[in-house]
Amino acid sequence: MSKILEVNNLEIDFNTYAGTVHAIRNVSFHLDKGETLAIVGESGSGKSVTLRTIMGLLAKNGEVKNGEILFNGQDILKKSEKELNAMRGNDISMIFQDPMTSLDPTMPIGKQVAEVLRIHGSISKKSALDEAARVLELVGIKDAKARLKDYPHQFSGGQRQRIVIAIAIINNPQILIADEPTTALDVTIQAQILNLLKELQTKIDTSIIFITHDLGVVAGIADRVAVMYAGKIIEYGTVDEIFYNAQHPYTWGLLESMPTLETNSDRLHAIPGTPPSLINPPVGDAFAARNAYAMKIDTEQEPPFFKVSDTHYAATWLLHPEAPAVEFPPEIARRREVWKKMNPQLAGKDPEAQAPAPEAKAAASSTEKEAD
Amino acid sequence: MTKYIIKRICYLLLTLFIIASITFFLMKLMPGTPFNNPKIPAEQLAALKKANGLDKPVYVQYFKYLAGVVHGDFGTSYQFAGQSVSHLISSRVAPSLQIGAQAMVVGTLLGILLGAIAAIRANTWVDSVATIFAILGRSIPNFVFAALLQFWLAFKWHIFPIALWDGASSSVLPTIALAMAPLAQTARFMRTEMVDVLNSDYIELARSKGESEWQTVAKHALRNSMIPIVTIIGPMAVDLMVGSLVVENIFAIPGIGEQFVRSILTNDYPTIMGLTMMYSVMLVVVLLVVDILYGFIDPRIRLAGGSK
Repeated sequence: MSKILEVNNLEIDFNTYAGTVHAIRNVSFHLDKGETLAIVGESGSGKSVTLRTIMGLLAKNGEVKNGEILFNGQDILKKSEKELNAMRGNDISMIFQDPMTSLDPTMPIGKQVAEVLRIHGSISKKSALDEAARVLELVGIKDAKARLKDYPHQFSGGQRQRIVIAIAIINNPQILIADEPTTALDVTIQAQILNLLKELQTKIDTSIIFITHDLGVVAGIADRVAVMYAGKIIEYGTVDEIFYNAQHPYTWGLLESMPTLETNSDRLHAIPGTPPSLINPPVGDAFAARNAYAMKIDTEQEPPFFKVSDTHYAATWLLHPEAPAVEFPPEIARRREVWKKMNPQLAGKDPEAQAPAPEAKAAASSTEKEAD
Repeated sequence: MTKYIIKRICYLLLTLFIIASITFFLMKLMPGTPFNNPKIPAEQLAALKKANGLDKPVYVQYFKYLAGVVHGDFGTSYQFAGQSVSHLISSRVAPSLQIGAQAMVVGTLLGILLGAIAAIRANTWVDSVATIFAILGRSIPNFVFAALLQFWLAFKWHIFPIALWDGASSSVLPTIALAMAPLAQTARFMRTEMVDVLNSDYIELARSKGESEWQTVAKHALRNSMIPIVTIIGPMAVDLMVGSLVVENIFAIPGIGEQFVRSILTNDYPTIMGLTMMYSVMLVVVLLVVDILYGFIDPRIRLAGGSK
């Protein structure tokens, strides 16, 4: 598979009254043609900023300090405003989080959809509207032709998100960026929208970057997952590798906090604490302060990416050959069992799968107390 | 929509009836009579009162008055013997309405433009200049502007006539003087609203479609920012029509503002009533127009009003 998008060593700062916020700290990832990459992380981890930068829509107080974003080999960061306008909505387009506010309330929806065609090509008003009606039918707006003159407030939240999707796909973009497109919708509609996106992906042959903080959504749609924390990607791999063989304690925390049918406990797990301020990012692993498995080195030195497989990397010192083996949280241990059944050829090869030594266990639990 | 407008017009008529009644009784409560001159002998005063129907009980006068109003007859002025109030008003209302309307159009359009530019270039020097301009325009009284304009543009440079009412060029200076306040106010409202609108999700979506900054502003931001402007336009318009008294005086324009003040000072009942009714009609009509305008700018309001 060929890479359609490559982000290398991206660093973005925001100048605020409180000081310079280092929002994106050396982020690299790539997107293959035709795949769906999910970027997961909590609010403020830098997911949206990264994607807005790909769209060339970084806020005015944001500044790219370093890095490159290669789209079909060309650096987006070096493009002029005019080139960016030609790219946006045509080669790369975006689906926004809140359908209730992302459509212009004073413009008929037909015109809002047709507008994208008129910006990127010479097409008559009439045929642009016809095309808009066709695409609106495609995304599931019934009787679209008769509703072209209707305004956004005459549609439900789910329907509005379909209209936003129609705007995003009408020019058959090569990359579709979805910024939490289901967060503002209720659960039944969420599933419909996700199915629609999957369906459209094959129909228009596009690659999708999907931002979310909902791992349940990721499982349904993604091929690969990148987990972001405090402006960095801390682990990435295929969806199975992340769900069943996660290596970073933060990923474990995310997986544990997701309710599953197998969950026996009445209480949901929560990751203690809050993310660090990115005005003065902590030394070492940014997650160390909230990490029950943190070791001394986590507060001193930043972990590099350790290779787990060809597709799976994680930035945690736990993967260092000298790191003590740890006892996994029950949910993660359960997932590892599933992983072993899925990959019988790996049995015995995985160093983590071996029983942890008792002294290492003690070390881990003592750091746990310090961390809190 | 038609149903809504008919309903509004019925309310409008009711409002005017209430205003007519309240003004009538308030006026009767004012001390003095139209014939305040102490030299008038008692029997002559009685004759004058009788001739004007002022000897009758108040309720009789009230109904007689209302009947007249319905027929468009506001009676005869006491001040200018023999002149009917309707004639008095119609002969002097034209210049006031003209400069008022011109000031309104010029002020709001330039205000919208200035506010929009300030918002697009928010927190730059352009924004600061626009803000200072707006504060000055709002806080300096219009007669100061009037005097300055007269001095520079008329007296020094002879570009426009210094005063009097003679052709279109004589309306330029009073229009500018009157337009400053609505310009400043509109600019401030527009800037605040547009900064909000430019940060909204639908503007970001418009940018993500590949629209240039100017396309986004022209197609999406302007219209959405104008909704609160419509709200202030109504009262501002009436303010302009009434408040032009001082400016009319400075430029020696034979307008209605001066007439109003003089009629109150002389207890000229029919003229007061006539002018009050005229302003009331203007106000309620402007408010109705504003409400209908809302519908054109904001489809959400149009449909909500239409369905009821």
